[in-house]
Amino acid sequence: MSDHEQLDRALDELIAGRSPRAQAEGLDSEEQRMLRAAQLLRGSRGEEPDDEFIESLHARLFPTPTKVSRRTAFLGALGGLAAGILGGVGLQRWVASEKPAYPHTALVGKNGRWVAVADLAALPHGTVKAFKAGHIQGFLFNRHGQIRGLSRICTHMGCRLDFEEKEQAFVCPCHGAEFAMSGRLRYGPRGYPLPLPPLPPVETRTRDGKIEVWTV
Amino acid sequence: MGEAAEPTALATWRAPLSDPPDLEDVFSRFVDPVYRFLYSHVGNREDAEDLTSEVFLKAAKQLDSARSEASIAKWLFTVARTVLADHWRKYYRSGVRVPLEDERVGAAPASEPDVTTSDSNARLVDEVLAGLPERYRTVLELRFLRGYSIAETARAMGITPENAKVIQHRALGKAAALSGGRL
Repeated sequence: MSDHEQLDRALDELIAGRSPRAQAEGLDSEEQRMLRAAQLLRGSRGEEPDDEFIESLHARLFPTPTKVSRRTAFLGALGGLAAGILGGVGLQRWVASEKPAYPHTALVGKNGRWVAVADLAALPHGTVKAFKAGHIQGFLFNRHGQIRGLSRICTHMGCRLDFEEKEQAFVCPCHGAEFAMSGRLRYGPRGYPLPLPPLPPVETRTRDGKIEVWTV
Repeated sequence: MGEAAEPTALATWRAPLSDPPDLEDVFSRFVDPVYRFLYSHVGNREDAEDLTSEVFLKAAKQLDSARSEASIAKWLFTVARTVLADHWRKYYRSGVRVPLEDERVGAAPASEPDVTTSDSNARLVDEVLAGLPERYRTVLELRFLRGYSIAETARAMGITPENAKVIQHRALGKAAALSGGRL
């Protein structure tokens, strides 16, 4: 068996999130098939586009800066329409949130209370913190200054998730399910026939330099 | 954002595209599923971003606003498959088969653009993994699903790094054979 040195370099690039194409060109056809099997495996984790990538591609496609993007204007108009129907309940939040792939619902209904769980200063961009408040356990994280909260309980069998920094994912120690930072299922549990629902969001707000969560 | 929100049914409701659809709406709606589709094949952020950009730059030139929403979805994924096929042809010269006729990935997004387009690949991967011996499967899971290095994989399995490498190569060879014409 040859030592597949170049294939190994391609695989390392792949795992680092970079394109293995420069290495791929020098591989023989069997090695290329092996690399593509690895790409397919890696790709099966599912991954969301980065916000920054979407913004930069948007800027490239629509170079004239407009004060209000069509999308915002469109959602705004939609908001007005929906406000009439729903009396405005939860509307701001919906308009501001990412487009949900599933019927997202907040974890705690209206009979909750705000509880401070962390100092805002202790959660800079890119960090994740686990919390326990009242009956709920969750993760807090900061993406470009926006604080988000998610339930920490796996939607498969209810185990408590861990944060895996390397993969930027929430991983279940019980059956290996893996959730993206958006809460969406990324992978597994292997052999389970249905896609798991996403992790429910936990409402957060900041008051006096503290991050508070809505809990019971 | 002061008070707690009540769960709202609104979240499940999807806005229709404007009529006639303009590219900015099409972009907002489809950038996520197109990216996911491409990522599910290339397995890395850099290629997925490059190819997604290519798809929408092409779309910007060719979007026919007379199309219906369903046909735009179908057309966009056809563009995405062509871009992907060109990518394989360009960098993987040795005649690797091109998954152009993969009707499973074509069918889902056309009718349900928000569906995770990697589902069909996930199923293929499950099948392939299930067909491998335990140690092969473990190495592939640790390496490519969990992103472990060779050293970390070896440690987790209690084997030497050299051994982990050899098992990895054999497992990938077997996986490539098992995924057969679909790869």
